[in-house]
Amino acid sequence: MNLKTIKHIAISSIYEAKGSKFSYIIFSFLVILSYVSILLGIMAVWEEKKILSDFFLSITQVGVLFWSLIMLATSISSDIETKRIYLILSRPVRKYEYLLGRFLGIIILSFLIIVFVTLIFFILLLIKRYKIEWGYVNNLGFIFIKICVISSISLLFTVITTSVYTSFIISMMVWFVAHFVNELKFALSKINGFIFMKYLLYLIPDFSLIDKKIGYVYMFVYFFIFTLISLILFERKEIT
Amino acid sequence: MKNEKLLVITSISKTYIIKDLFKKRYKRAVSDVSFSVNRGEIVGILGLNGAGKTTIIKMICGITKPDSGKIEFEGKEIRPFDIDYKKNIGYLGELPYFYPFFTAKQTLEFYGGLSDMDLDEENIDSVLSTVGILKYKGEKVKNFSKGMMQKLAIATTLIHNPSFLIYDEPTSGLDPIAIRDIRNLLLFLKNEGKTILLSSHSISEVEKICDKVIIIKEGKLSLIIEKEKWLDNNLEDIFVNYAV
Repeated sequence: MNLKTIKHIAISSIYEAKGSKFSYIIFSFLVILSYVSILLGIMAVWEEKKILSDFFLSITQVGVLFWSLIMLATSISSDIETKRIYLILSRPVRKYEYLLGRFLGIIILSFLIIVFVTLIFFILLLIKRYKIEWGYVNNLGFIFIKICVISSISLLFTVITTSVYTSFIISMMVWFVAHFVNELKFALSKINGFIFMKYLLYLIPDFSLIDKKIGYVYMFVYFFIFTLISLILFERKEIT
Repeated sequence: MKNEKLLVITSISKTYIIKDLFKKRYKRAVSDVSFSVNRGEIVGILGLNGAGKTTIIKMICGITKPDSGKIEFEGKEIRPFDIDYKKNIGYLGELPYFYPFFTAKQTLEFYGGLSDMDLDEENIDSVLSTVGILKYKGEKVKNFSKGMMQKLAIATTLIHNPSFLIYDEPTSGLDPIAIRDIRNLLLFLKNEGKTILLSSHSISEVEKICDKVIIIKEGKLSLIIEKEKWLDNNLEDIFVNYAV
């Protein structure tokens, strides 16, 4: 594995995302909604701070997730469709190095967007004379981990289908179900049959475990397995 | 040096699997093709659309792997997971797309970096000046015309100073002046000692600059002809007889 090559491709991903109008739309959306959260907070009167922080965390999660899934799928698909990937693979670059570089670029930029939006939010809190709590950073860490895991699943579907829409829709469905895995397991345990569904649920990460003691390890295992399978499949994929 | 074989291709074949929703189809793209390229030559590959020219080029560049046969480059057989030999190859695809937000300089740094090169300003200026777009060094690629894009594409193939250049339709869709510029550039590169494999639809271009021509018909090798032999005949007539 050539780390220099991976770094090069990751940087190109960051540049590409930086130049994309979609990135600016999402970023503006996050900044505007952070400001809107102040108005919502005012309406909540007694729980202004809670509304402010909950709303901010929700929009950050949804906004950055949307951004990372769409950027990841479009960047890889457009490289294949425009045959730009030929120019890259005609260099001493392995297919999996290309894919890993692309993926890491998007993950790094997702992290940077979260950091930047958080800074804006902290400034808003300070303007409102609220204390900044460590819990926010912790929750933002959880959001970033969830985005990494869902992005790795999106990577797998992008490799399999090379379709932006399919990959995006499946990833969003997995993200939704991942928040209710525990409840679904409980519901299925009360019903006879559906054995296949019960086992299928093990393929989906359970986001309710994220703040448990082994949460980080559990999420990393999912992230690692989905990424590894994507890299292996892409290395074997015939690019035409 | 002239008769030293740089590339030897022996009986390569390639079949693509086309997956539809419920069934697989097989398409034989290249069948049992053999030829060689000597160092310092410009060799043309001619053929109709879909004849298999691009597949042959993709196999040489390692973008796709042959199902059978072997490819030797600089005397060594290319194994399925070899990538080091690509440091000595510069590939230009038909209609090259670059990252639109990169400048010409950043594009060269990107592709040079992929070939493990640490580039300085002098390398970049020299290559951009060779292809005649030095004054657009800081310009974003999205503002480039088709001709400038093609020149930048040629610059990316030269930035790591490879000995072997593979150009797939480098003059496709260009105006006559840009075609003349690219032709002169190819002849200049030949004089600089580069070996060039040139796939083209334009018989007149190939006729003017190539030392040898390979004609591919329906994935199979139809004819290999040296320049001395087509000087007496019309290459267009030969092409019609062997490629159609």
